[in-house]
Amino acid sequence: MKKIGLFICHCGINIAGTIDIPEVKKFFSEYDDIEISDDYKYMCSEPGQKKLRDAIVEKNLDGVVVACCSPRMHEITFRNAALAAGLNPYKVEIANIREQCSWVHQREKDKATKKAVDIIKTMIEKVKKDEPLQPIEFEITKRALVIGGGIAGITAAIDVANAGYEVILVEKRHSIGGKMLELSETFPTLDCAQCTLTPKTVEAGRHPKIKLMVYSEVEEVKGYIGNFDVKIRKKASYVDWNKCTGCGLCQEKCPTKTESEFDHGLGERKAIYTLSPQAVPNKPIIDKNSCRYFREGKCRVCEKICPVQAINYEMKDEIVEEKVGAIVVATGYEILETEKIPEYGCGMYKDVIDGLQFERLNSASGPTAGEIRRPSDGKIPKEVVFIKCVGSRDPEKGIPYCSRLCCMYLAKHARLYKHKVPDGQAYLFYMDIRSFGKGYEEFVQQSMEEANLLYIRGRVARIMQEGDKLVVWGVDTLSGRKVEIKADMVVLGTAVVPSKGSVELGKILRTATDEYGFFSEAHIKLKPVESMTGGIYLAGCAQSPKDIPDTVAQAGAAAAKVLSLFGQEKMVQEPLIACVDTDLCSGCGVCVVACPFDARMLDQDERISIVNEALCQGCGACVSACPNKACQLRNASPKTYMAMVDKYL
Amino acid sequence: MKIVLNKERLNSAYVQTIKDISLQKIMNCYQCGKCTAGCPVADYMDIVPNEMMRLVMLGEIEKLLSSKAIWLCTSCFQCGTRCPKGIEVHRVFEALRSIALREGKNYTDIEKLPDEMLDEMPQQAIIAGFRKFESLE
Amino acid sequence: MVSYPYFPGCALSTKAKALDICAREAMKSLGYELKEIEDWTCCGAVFSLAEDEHIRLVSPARTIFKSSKVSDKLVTLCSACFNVLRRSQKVLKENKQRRERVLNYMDEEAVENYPENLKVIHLIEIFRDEIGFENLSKEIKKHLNGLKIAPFYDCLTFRPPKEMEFEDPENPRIYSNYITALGGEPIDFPYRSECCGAHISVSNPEVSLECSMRILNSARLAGAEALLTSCPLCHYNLDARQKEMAEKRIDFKPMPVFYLTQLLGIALELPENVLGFEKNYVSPLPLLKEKGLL
Repeated sequence: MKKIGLFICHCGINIAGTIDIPEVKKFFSEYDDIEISDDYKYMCSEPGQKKLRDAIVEKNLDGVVVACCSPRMHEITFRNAALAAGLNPYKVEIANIREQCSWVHQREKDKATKKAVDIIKTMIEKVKKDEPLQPIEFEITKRALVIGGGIAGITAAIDVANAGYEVILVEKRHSIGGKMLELSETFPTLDCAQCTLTPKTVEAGRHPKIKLMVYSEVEEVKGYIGNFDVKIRKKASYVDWNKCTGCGLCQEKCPTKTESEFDHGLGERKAIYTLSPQAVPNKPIIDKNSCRYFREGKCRVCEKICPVQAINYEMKDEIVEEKVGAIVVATGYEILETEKIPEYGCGMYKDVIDGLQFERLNSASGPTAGEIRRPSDGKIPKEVVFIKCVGSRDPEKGIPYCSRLCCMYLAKHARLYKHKVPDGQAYLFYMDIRSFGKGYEEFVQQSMEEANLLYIRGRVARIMQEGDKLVVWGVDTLSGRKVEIKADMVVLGTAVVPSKGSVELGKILRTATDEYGFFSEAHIKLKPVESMTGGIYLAGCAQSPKDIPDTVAQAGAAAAKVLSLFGQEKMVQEPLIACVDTDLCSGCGVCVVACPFDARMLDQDERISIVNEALCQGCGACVSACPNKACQLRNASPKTYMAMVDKYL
Repeated sequence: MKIVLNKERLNSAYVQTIKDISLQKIMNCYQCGKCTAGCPVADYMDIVPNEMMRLVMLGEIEKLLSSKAIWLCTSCFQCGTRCPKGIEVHRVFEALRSIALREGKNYTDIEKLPDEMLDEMPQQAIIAGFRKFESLE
Repeated sequence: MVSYPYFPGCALSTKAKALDICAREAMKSLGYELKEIEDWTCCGAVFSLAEDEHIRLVSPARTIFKSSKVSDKLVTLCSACFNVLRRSQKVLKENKQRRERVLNYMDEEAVENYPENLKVIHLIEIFRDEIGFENLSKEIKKHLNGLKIAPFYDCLTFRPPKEMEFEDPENPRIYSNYITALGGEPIDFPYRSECCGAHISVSNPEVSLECSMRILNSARLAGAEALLTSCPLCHYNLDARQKEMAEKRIDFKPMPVFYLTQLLGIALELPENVLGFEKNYVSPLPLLKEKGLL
């Protein structure tokens, strides 16, 4: 004979307005196995929970059914209340009589009441069959991996390292700093980007708890939250960084010049090069594709000239294996190339540039030493057009979202242009002005007022090259007229898209990416820094486009999540997972193939299947796959469900 | 001159007809103006394409039917090709012309054109003229 | 000899007959017979943009059904006919309701199963897909000596892109490739796909005159010696109306406008009387003689 407590919630009028609660309460007060049948206006409130706790203690209940809203709302609330009162939380079940009853049958009160009774009957059956499970504990490796060395990755790494845990910071390029390293000045204060960034990069570079792995990429990730096994490929730089002093002679003497990726095609670099003057670490790599030795077997000047003999053409990629407990994904963003915009010249017009190229032009360490000059002929442009929403907010181009940054950075660009070319004229084509942050609206208004910027509300249909001018065909919807400008230079605010390789990295990490390639968060409002996979956290533009303040905030939040994981003694996992009836298991191995989380293995000696309790997410795929019905889900076996169905029928 | 808005006006018979003939989701337009920016004859129009879309959204159909602009359209389809929301703007204008023509008005009397002109022009122009500018009545 | 059903259209059968003859002779020497469909009717000149005008689909449907009995391709040379027939085929293929209504009007043309595989193609697609531009280059007898020709990408051949399913109208290449294959130098110019004014010449001729003038000016500024088009109406607006342009602007310089197949005819050394140059208002003969092509 069981002693089950039933608590029916009114949920204001959400449930009580449709279901006749007194009748339901009376019905169950004379029901088998029910020790107490009670109701309350808001069971989830403090007094409601107290009712539950008191009843458990006074009546010595061994099971509880709360008839209320969806378990997604308050299952945890009531389980914790039961735990506080001394009852095993897995003997608490929710009968959803709101989303699945009162809300959908508002016009049929009698039928709804009867349905509520049926639902509660089935959940009582389940509670009777439920086992009092114990949560599962396992060890945590208290080291973190941060993928991406931009401002997001650096911030997260420093925060975790300052708490005393070791952090491995992996970066694809051969210097940390990310996109911020390429910027000239940042909004809304027009601070020099390097001045704000370099203290952080230097700190990350010299922090005793941060293991910096630049020019590296994550190749394989196995394991689970608290226990990841990671393989990282350290690409061959052909320079022994242990010997290299960063003197720069090799770079100076190298005879080969090629297009610089850092300058986005506007400038040149050598075949052996450091990323930028403020690079951390300040060590060069050799680019195999342009180096004369690798292409033709000639030259070898850098090898001859290096005072410490650091050049090693025979270097190979190295695979480094690490164990970590948490991973932060901070892989950042790219902007859509101008080649993808056919109506603006398809990337063929040299003077139509994108936002990052403009940053390089404006940057003192850039290809023009900070002077705004046309890439085609080096002349100073007097009429410059800035276009917002290029590719963004454009469902036909496959990017319906707003890139969030462009309104602010193009206003900044226009203002910086005017600082450098006071007698120039800047035009901005916009659809809206999204200046949502602290100090942003004031910045935009000041730009309009001080720098005489002409904001034109409308989009540009076409840009054509006519002689050495660019003819821009736009529109001013506010006055209803077509607008034509013969510009010297055009700056496009192209859409923010995820970094190349994001989708592939998502597959390696086994975490979801959305339809655009951004990493998916577990809940857009309540869990913005947690990915869909336990132990993997998100920071910065890898999750969605955002500016630097929001990136740094999100990175701090991701670090906090890592620290709250590491702050636990052991990891605790919900026990509602798969289990194996060893008498029935034949060791066929179908469950191993069926499991999407790699949580099943065959014990080679015993020839039966085992469950990795940390990885198992309780999805049930193995249960349906098992031909012997040896595989079950705890507290959710077919016997339990059949009993529930029988009760209903 | 102010426009008084209410749900009858926004769903008037004219608006419904335009939606039926063109099969376009008029409310998707976010007034970016790319249609106007690319229209080859917008310079000569009294109401430019994005304004025409706006007026349809606001239910101001009579004004559009008596405009010069709908007759200046060359049906080059640039507007619909460029629209970032995928709205076939050219079909909306055709709907406006169709309404005007179905009410029995002619824009141009092709027969009244000078003979040498009719002789020289390719049939394409004349037939298109009949189709676009003359009512079937 | 490969034979395809061919829809010449009104203009090419009458006022621009020479262009039709030029096309057929040129294709014959390349091994293709363009067989005119029997008893065809005018395509309608414009594709109806109104969803409820089903009668406009009847003539194109008739043409498509007739062709499908002979081949799975229907070739046309006039951009307007291409636009109407290609879009009609797409609608009839995908919209069952409209197709049912149109079938009510079919008599002996009616076919058992709707010819879904019939493709309406522009003559230039034969060069791109079947002969190949490289092979075309080998087949021709006289290369055009780097004649600077600006290809005009007319509205009706390329737009709307989702219905025509041809090339991207913002970045078209096909006419340039054709010109290169024939030995000319294609000149890209800003107004390459802006409308010439089309049928507005009937109602507001000043407006279409401006549209056409801009195109010619832009081509000349880019260094072109001639223009290329495949639409009889564009040809009229850009060529015949140069008379009015010269009256309007004293400094207007005339530029010859070639029809697509006239260039091919020159390259294949067809006799001059077949090339139809007498139909051009601005005669290309002086330019061709200067380049040693005649």
